[in-house]
Amino acid sequence: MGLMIHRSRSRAGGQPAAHGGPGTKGLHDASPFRPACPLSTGAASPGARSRQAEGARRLLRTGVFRASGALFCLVAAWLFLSSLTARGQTPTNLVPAAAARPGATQTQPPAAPILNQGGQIIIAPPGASAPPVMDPQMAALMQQAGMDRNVVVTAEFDPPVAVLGQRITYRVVITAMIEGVALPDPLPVVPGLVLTPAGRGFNYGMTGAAMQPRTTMNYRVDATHAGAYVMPSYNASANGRSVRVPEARLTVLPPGTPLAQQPLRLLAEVPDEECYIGQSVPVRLVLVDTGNHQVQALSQPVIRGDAFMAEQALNRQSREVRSVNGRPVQAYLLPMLVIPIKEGRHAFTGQAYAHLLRGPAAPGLGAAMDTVLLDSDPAWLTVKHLPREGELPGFTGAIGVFHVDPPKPSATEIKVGEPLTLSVTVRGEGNLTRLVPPRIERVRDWQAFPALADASGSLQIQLRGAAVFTYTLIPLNDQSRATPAIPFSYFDPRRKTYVDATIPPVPITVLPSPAGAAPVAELARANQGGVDDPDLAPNEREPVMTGLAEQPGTVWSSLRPIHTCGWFLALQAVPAALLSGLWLHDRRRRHFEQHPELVRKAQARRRLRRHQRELRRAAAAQDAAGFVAAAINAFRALSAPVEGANPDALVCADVLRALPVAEREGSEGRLVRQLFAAAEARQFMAGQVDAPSVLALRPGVEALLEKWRSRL
Amino acid sequence: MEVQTVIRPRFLTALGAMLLLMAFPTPNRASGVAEPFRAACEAYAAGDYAQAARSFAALARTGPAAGVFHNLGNAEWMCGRRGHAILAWERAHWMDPYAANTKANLRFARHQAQLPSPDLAWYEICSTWLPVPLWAWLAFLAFWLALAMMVLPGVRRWRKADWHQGLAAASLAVFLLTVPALVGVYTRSRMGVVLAPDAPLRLTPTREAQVLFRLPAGELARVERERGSYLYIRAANDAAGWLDRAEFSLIAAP
Repeated sequence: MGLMIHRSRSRAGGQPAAHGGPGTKGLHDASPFRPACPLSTGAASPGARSRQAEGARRLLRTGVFRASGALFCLVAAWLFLSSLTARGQTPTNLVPAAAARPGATQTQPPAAPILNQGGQIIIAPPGASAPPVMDPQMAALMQQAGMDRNVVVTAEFDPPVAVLGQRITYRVVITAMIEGVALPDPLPVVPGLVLTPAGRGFNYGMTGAAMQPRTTMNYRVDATHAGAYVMPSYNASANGRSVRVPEARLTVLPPGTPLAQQPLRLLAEVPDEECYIGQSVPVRLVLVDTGNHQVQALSQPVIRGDAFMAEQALNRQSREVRSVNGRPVQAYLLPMLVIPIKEGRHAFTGQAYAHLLRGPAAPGLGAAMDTVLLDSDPAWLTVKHLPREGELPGFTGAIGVFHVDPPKPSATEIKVGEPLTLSVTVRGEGNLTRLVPPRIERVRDWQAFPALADASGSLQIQLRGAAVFTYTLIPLNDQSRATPAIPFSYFDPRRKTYVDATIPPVPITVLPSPAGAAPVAELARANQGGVDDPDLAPNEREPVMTGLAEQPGTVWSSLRPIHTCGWFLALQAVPAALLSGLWLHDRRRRHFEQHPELVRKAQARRRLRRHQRELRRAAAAQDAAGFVAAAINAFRALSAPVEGANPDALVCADVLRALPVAEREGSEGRLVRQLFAAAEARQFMAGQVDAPSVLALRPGVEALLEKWRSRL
Repeated sequence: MEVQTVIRPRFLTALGAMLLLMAFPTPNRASGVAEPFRAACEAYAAGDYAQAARSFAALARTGPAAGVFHNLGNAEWMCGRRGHAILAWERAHWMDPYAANTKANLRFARHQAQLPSPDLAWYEICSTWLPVPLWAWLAFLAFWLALAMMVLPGVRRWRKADWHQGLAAASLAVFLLTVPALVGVYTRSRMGVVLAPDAPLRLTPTREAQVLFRLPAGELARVERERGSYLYIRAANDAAGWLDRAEFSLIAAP
C-alpha cells in the first residue's frame, strides 16, 4: 500500500537521483535564484535557460545552497500542485510537460510498475503501455490531496452465482461518509429472497490522488429456491442527495452444483467452554480464502452483539493453512477480545475488511488492492454470573489467571509522614486491561491513598502482559515495620473458583518524623480514619434500595402543610382572644381601682335590686316586719356609697345624712324615720308592727328608692 | 399577693396544657391499618408487587403514613413505575424527614434513573430538619408564648422577673427562626413529581402545543401556575413549560 520510491542513478552526472523519476532533473534545475520553477516556465528559450542553469550550477556547488534549493522547489511544487488539484485538475496531466523538457535526463525505468495507493501506475516498466508516469515525490505529495466528492454507488451479490443454501451477501457500496448514507428500510422486495441487515462499515480508498470515502452495507441473503433474481434499482440518500443504487443480479443454482470459485467467508471462532460476565474471552475472526482471492490482510474488525463489548486484542494477525474439502487453503486469523455483559446464551457477529490483491490485467502490470467488507455468521456464547459463593476479600472483578510480583517500594527507609510509593505488578491472562486495583482496607499505622490504575493503553498492557498499580502510603508512626498486606483475589474460569493472590507486605524501616510531619499525619488519620479512599466514603457508595418499613407509622389527616389550612389560621383566634380578654379585664380592674366610688355605686345598685325584690315579696305576703327590714336595707345600700361604709353599719342618722337637706326635712325624711322607728320598736321593745300602716308606706318607699337610685 | 402566687402556676399550667393539646391534634396512631399493612407486606414478600402496590395505595388514601408511603414506593419501583415510586418516597420523606431508608431509596432511584437531585433553597433545606407539621406548631407555640410572656406579667401583676423577658426573647427568637422554615415548607409544598415517562413539556397549555422538552418519570419540578388541566412547571436546569395535570402530582397533595 505504501508508496514505492525507486532510486536510480543519473546517466549524465552519475549522481544519485534522489527523486528517482523523470522529473527529477527539472526539479534540480529549479534553484531559489531563478525567477520561477521550470514547471511553470516551460516557455523560456533554451539559450537563456542554459545560461541560467550554468550560473545556478555554480551556486549549487555548496551543500547549503543545494539543500535550500531542493527544499524551495519541493515547497513550490507542492503549492503549485495543490492549487491545480483544488481546481480539479489531476497532477498526472502535468507530468508529460515536465518530462518533455529539453535536456531532461532519463533515469533507468523500474522493472515492475510502481503503483500509488489508489492503484494507479506511477512508474511503468519499459515497453508497457502505461500512461505517462510522474515523480514519486509528487505522488507522495499527492497523498495529502483532498476528498473525492463524487458519489458512486455499486451494488452486487457476493457471490453473484451461488448454490442454494450457500451464504450470500448483498453488498452496497456508496462513496460517501457513513453518517450521510441511508438506504430505504426495508429494501425493495424480491420474491424468493429474504434480506437481513448485516455488517455496515466505512473506510477510505484512493481514486487517483483523491481519497474516497466508502460506506459499505451488507445484507444477508436467504434464497428460497434456485433461479435467477434481480434486485431492482432503487433510490438511496448520500450526503443529503438522492442517489440511484443500480440493480444487481443473482443466480442461485440447485444444491450440489459445483462452483468455479468459492466466495470469501469470515468465521467467528469462540471457545467451547462457558464464560462469565466481565471475562475477556478470546475469539478469532478467521477468513478462509478457498477461492484464491489473494487476501493480503484483515482490518477494522468489529464485534456486533447486544450482550458483548469488544476490545482490540493485541493484533497478532497471522495466517495458517487449513484443509477445506481436502484442499489446503490459506486462513487469516485476527484475534479479538469479547467481554460478555449479559447472562444467558447470546450471539454476536464479527465483521472485518478483507484486503484483496486484484490480479494484473497483463503480465508485468501492477496489481490493485481492493477492500471488501465481510461479516460472519452468528457465534454463540453461554454467559454466566460469577458465583457468589467462595468470593474472597479483595476481589475487584479480575477474571483469569494472575499472579502478583513482589511489590516494589520506592524506598525501604522513610520517615513518619513521608509518602511511600508501592508498585504492584499483576501478570497473567484474563481481563488484565480492565483490572481494578484492589483497595487497601483501613489500616492502623498507615494512611493509604487509593491506587492509581495502570495508565498505559490497552494494547500496551497486552504487550507487556502485566498491569501495574501504584499505591501511595504514608506511615503515621514509627512503629510500622512493613507495608500493609493488600487483599487481592481473582476468579479462575477454568477452575471455576476464586483464588487468593493477596499482595504481601514489604518490610520497611520507618524513622521518627522531623518536626511538623507527625501532626500532619495525625490530622490526616483523624480526618480520614486511616484511609483516604473516596470509595469508602458513604456518599460515594453505590446506592441500593432498602427493604420495607415494618410499621405504618403515624397517620396524618392530610399531607397539606397545616399552616395553609383554614382551621389552623382560625385556631390563632383562641390565644388571641384569651390574651385580649385578660388585657381588657386588667384595664377594667385598673379603672375601678382608680374610681372606687364606681364600685360602691355598682354594689349599691346590686344591693338595691336585691332589697327591692325582698321588699316586694314582703309587701305581697303582707309581712310588715320583712317589708320594714327590706326597706331599711335598701336605704342603707343607697347610703353606703355616700358614706363610704358598710351598709350594715349605717343607722337612721347616716341614712338621713345621705339625703339632700330638703328631702331630709320633708316627707322623705319622715318616711325614713318612720321605718327606722318601726324597726327599732320591733327589735328593742318587742312590739308588733302595725302592718296596714306600714304596708301603706310602700308607694312612698318605692318612689324614694327610685329617686335615690337615679342619683347614683 | 397570695392570690397571685396561686394563680400564676395554675395559669401557666393551663396554658401549657392547652398548647400541648393543640400541638398534636392531627396525627393519630395507626390503629385500623395494621392488618391491611401486614397483608400488603406479605404480598410484597411473595413477589406480588402489583397487589402490594394496590394495597399500599389504598392504605395511603385512607390514612397517609410515612411507612405506608415508603412501602408503596418500593412496590411501585418493583412494578417498574419509577415516577410513582419516587412520588411515594418523596411523600414518605415529607412526612418523616428522619427516615434514613426512605432517603436511601430516593438516592437509589435518582442514581438508577440518572435524575438530578432536587435543587433546594437554604430555607427549604432548613424546613427538612423537622417534620412539616411540627414547624407550624412550633411557630404557633413560640409566637403566642412570646406574646403571652410580654403581656401576662403586666396583666396579671406578676412581680417582674428576668425569666419573663428571657422566655419571651427566646420564644420570639424561635418564632423568627421558624419563619424561613415555614416559607420553605410552603415552597416545597408546590413541588411535585413527573409521573409519566418522557412527559412532554409544552409551550402553551394546549394539547397541540409545541413540545419544548420531555421530562423523565420521577423528575422533581415546581408548580408555578395552573390553567385548566395544565400546570406550568419548572424543572431542573430551568426547563419550564406546561404539563398535563394527569402526568404530574404534588408531593403535598391534599
